[in-house]
Amino acid sequence: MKVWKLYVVEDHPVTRQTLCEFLERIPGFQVAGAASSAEEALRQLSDLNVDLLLVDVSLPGMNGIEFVQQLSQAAAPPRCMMISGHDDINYVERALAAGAAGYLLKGNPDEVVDGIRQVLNGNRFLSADLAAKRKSEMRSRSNKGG
Amino acid sequence: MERDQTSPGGDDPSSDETEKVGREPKTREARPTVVGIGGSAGALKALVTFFESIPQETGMAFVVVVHLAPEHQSLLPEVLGRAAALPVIQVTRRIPLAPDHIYVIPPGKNLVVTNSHLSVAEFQGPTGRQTTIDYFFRSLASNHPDTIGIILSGGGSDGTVGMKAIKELGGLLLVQEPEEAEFASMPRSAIGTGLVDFVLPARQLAEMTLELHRMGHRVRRYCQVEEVPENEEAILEGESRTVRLFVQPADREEQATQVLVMFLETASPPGPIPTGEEDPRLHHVERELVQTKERLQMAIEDFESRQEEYRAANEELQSTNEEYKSTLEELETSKEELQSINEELHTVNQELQYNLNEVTGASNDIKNLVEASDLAILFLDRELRITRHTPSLSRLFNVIPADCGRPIGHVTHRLNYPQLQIDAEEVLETEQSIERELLDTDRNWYLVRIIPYRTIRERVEGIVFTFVDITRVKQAEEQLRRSQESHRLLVAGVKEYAIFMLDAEGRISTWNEGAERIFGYDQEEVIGRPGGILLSEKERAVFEEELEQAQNQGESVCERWYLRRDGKPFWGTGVITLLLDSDENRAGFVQVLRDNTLRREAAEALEKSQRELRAFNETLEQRIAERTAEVEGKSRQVHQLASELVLAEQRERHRIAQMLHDHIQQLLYSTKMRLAMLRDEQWPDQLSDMRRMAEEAYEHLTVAIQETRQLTVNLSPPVLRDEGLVQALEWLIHQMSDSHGLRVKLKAKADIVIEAEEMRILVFHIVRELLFNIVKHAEVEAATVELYEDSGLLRVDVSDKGTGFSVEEVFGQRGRHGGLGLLNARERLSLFGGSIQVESQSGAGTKISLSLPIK
Repeated sequence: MKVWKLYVVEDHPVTRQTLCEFLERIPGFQVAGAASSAEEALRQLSDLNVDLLLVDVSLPGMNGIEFVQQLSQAAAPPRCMMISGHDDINYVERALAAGAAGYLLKGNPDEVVDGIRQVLNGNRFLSADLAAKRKSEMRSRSNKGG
Repeated sequence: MERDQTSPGGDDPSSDETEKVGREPKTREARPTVVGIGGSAGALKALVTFFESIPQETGMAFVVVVHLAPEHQSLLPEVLGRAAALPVIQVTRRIPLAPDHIYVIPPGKNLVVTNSHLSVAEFQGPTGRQTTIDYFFRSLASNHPDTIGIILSGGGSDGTVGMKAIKELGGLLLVQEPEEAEFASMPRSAIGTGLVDFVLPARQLAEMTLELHRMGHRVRRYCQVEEVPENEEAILEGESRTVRLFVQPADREEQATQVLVMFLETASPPGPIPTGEEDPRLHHVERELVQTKERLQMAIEDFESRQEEYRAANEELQSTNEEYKSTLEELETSKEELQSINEELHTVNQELQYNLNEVTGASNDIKNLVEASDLAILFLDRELRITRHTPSLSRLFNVIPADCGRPIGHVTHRLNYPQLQIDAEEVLETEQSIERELLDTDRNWYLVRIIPYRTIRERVEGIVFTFVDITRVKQAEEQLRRSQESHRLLVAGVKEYAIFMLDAEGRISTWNEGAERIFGYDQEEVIGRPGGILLSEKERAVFEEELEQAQNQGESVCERWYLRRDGKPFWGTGVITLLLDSDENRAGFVQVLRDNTLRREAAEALEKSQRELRAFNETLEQRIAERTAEVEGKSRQVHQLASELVLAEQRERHRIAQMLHDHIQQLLYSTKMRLAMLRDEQWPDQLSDMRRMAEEAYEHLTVAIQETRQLTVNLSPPVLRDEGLVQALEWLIHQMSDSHGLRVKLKAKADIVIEAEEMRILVFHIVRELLFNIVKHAEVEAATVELYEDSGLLRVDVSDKGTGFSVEEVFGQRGRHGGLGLLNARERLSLFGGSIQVESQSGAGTKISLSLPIK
């Protein structure tokens, strides 16, 4: 069975610790490392062969979206799953535009494993709340436009 | 002329005498050369010309004989006297001939020369032809053989016979050029004799006379001068000698009458007559001769007597002929005279006509003048009979044009004038005019003027009455008198005003009752005293200035303190007016015054209180200004504080939101993950409660996370911080739709920019509050938000079609709906100078309008 190597970028130490322990316990997942800032992650990532990065949107210094944007410039960029307490659709759109493959709301741990698996399988994943919200947003925009 | 007619020259020698004297031997040397000048019609002009050229001293005596009308005084002496340098004497009695005199024939007489005296002789026959020249020349020739006879212009042939006599006795003859003469027949007749020496114009006649006299003309007495060709010799043969004469003009340019005569040589005298010898036949012949001579003598005598008879007859015929000629001439002269009289009459007639026209014009003028003036005029003669009157007189007198000639006493009139006749007689007597003012029966006043009627020769031929209606003048006088009296009474009776007059020297001349009351002086005390006594010493100079101003400008306003008799001052106001007499000279002044002391005091009090009021007002205004500045400062502070408050609130919201997000949510999420791990543990059955409790805690945390997330957003919408108001409102609308099911329609232009963040925040929060209110109270699912700019104001309308509410109730009860109620919104808006308007009715929806200055 393939073990996926994950990397966590999260400034809040409790969340970072909990997230790492949570993911370690999932069969097939291996937490390759964690960083408290984008800058720290960039220093470590070159040595690691990471399959997926979980990136907090709100980071001190370079924020998560800017970080993803920078990573996506690389030749073989790793898959990125945004993880955030902000359910603002604007953030979601900007993250997707920057190259993120998924956006997890910090709120429902049950989505985490499934979401990561989806992304690792090459799919895009949005938390259920965001997906619904985005759908209505799209509808109202198309209404306004129409 | 009558005198001449009535007094013939009785003491003068008669014509017979003259004849006799004429044959007397001549004593030439003692006498002056006499020049006799004859003429008739047209001779006067020639005489004037002639004598103008004769100087004062010539040594000659000139005797002028012309045909004069016997009945008329002759003006010849005066006329010649003016023209000639020599004295002119009209001969009226025997007088000696003196050189350098001109003697003139009197009218109606003949003139003769006897023994170097001139005298007058009776005219021969009234109808006879004029022979005065012949008569005179003959006497002249016999008395003065060296005379010069001159014939000038004239009709007829008088003088011709006389000239022959002059010539025969050795005188010289000159005749006026017939071409020049006005009447040529007399000169031509003289020239016709062939005896005339020179024919010349009048002026040259004078020059020639002088020349001949200067040269002496003895030569000419002896020789008959034939015409001598110029520059040639001529032989002159006289009684005793013959001379050769060479004649040459003195100057070729001059008239040929001025000649140079030269005697060249004396011709040989004729030889003595040879005497023959005695002869015997001589006696016979002598006898025969004597006989023949006697017969011849008889024949001659016979012949002579016959010839004498013939001559007498001839003379008679000639005389008759001459008479006819003379008569004809007289008739011509009369005709000429008549013509001249006719012309004179014509002139006189014209003059008279001219005068008549003037008189007629003047008469018309007077007539029109009298009628136009509407004057009643009455003319009376010396007997007081009406001679003439103007039509207007009939207003006063019962006269008709036919009344002319009636005595004035017979005519009735309407005037109260019993002494009319007495006055008329007095004027006639004294020749002084009289004037009276009289009333007629209708009580009209008339001015009656009676003047003597004077003719041009200042004789009083009658009298003239003029009646002028002066009723209106009288009435005007009466009115004036009454008006003056009422004015005087009015002025005197005025009590509130002091009215008094000052004469030209500034002394008081009138003083009314008001003046007595105000000043306290009686009339008797002030009349005649200077106006200055009414003022204090200090004010007198100003009073003089006021008088001067009134003098210059006609009036001056005076407001000052005056002095009463008791020394108390009072404040008088009024005017001084200049009075002028009829010649525009200063007659004095009138001053009108009123005691305005009380008014002045009141005015002063008023002014004082006004001053105080003004000062108070100024203080008040200053204080208001201070307060206003204070309030403005406060207002600025409040505004600043409000901004600060909004921003602080927002900062605080943001801080709380951040804390919720950055810490609490992280912790909640971590806890949830750990509960998930705990839940998913392989729990033994006896510990199944652990799983269930973990599951329940997990669910609680899910809700808690959702709530805090919502709270975070609500506390500080990220869009509000990062983007514009319109974008924030769009976000809000989504929120309302997602969270509360309210569909909100936003009408806004995307380019509305509000620089101040606090404003954006304020508007956003208020709109959100209003939308929440709609969600909570309106019971509708739709609302509209409209955003627009209107002249520096941001306007936001939030409206719905819900249940509506009572505006009074909402504003009356503070914060009834909790949170940011409408009242709260209003207060916060007002801190930024904004306002809120609510239109709502129960059941008819609500429209809430915000307006906020954004510039």
